[in-house]
Amino acid sequence: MVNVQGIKFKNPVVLASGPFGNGKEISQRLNLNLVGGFTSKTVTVEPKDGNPPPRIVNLDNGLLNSIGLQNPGIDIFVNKDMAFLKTIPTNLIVSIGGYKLNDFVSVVKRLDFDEIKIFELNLSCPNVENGGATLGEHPASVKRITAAVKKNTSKPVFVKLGAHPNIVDLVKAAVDGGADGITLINSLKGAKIDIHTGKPILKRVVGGLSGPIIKPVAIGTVYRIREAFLDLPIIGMGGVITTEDAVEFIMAGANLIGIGYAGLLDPTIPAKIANGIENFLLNKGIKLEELTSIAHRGGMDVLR
Amino acid sequence: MIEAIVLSNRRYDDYFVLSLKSTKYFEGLVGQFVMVSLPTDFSLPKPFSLLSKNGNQFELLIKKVGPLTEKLSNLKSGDKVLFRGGYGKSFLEKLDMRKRYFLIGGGSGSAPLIYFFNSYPNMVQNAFFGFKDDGISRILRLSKVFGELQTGRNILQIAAPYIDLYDNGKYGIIACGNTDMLLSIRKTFKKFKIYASFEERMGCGIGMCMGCPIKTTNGMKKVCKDGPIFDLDEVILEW
Repeated sequence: MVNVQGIKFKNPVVLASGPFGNGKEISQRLNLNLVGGFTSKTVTVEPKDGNPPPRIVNLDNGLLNSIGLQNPGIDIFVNKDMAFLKTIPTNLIVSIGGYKLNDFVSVVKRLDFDEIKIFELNLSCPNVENGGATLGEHPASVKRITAAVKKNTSKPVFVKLGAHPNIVDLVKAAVDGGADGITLINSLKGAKIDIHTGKPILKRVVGGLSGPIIKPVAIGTVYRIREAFLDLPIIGMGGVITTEDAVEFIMAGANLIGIGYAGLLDPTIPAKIANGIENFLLNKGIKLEELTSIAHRGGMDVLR
Repeated sequence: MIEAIVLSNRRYDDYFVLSLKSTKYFEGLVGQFVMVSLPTDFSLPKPFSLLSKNGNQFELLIKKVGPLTEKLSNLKSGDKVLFRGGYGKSFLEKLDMRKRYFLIGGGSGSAPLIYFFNSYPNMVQNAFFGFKDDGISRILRLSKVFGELQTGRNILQIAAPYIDLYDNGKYGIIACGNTDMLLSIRKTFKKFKIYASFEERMGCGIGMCMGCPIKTTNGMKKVCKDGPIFDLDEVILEW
């Protein structure tokens, strides 16, 4: 059991926004009761067709994606997707995207459902022009948007950011704007050239890089933010595919662990990791709270 | 993921046919695909259409195009792969069952059509499987294979004069190949009902990640879940 901003999570594993859509397909292959939370696909005001294919480039131990926030828009999300999401047996986090401040506000105003436990502002999608990504690179806009959303909801608001060089300033801006937590990290930016054609595989050239190959960057970012913000709730993610990866994130400072890529590898992995964390704690004879951020407190030695 | 053991690996040129035995029962209908990865690394599984399935044994026709297919091509009998599936709609779920079909496959796109050809001979009027080199018929154990090297023509040039004689509405076409081939097929056979099985790079294979979009007259759909077979009239190929 983990308590984050007054919300009880069965375990620290949450499904990250994106790879699992709005839950229908994954719920047929993974008992969502076995994970702590589920994050919706980012929803925007208007429907979005997303980017033209190819959208997926497989890499060794990683993935480039160029989905482009394909989603049905807030009207259909509220009328159709929410009907299902309301029924899932785990905490629901809804991810919100947009191009300007008002987009975020008008979406959040439409989502006054008891079943939604947390809002996550996607200020870091690498795959849309002038979208959240640009907004998420400037502390001033991060603060403004967070504050505006907070004014329009009583639920906890998390801000999802990328691994920017100025990440500490961005997180500070989110906190100043009233953010209740931070989700780190969104996918990095990467590209792949087909050496037979000499052309980039993705039409937009650059896509979002995720999977095990970004894990050290994610661990480094979570560590850095935990060091700067001792009590800030953090959902840590980026290449978690094993229990050991999740434990590493927890030690670096994550309160909750997001899983994305691994669910594409095998949809049952999130439940296995949740179980694995529990076994790790049992074997070591410690509580999750003791393990959290332990890398900042002298490591496992302090428990002896 | 389900573990499968390699029974044999028949290679020809850039192509190979992996014959596998699943350690568990799985459903794998004609037209469906499986997501395959290796137990030795954490790269994502990729989709491959079933070439055949008999009980827990199944075959995949694969072309070497990148790191995963390169590694798969080196597998020997007794080696293991991981897979999940079969995914996607079966051909029978979508086809107009009153018609007889001409099958046109381009390269490894022939795989699901060969599975169809062997499973429902009564629904097939004729089949044309096009490859660079017809030597591949040895590993496919099939006639109906046409090599561009041997004939000097591509599969459409070979099939068109024959199929054109049957434009009375009783026959349809099922095609699988790259987008260029599908565009030419649409242009060539205006009077036929055409179904196409689409190839696309996929993420999840089960309809959640939006990685394999296809634009249709009924809005955005997913190749993995709504397809891979579509009525070509409904698909907007140039996007």
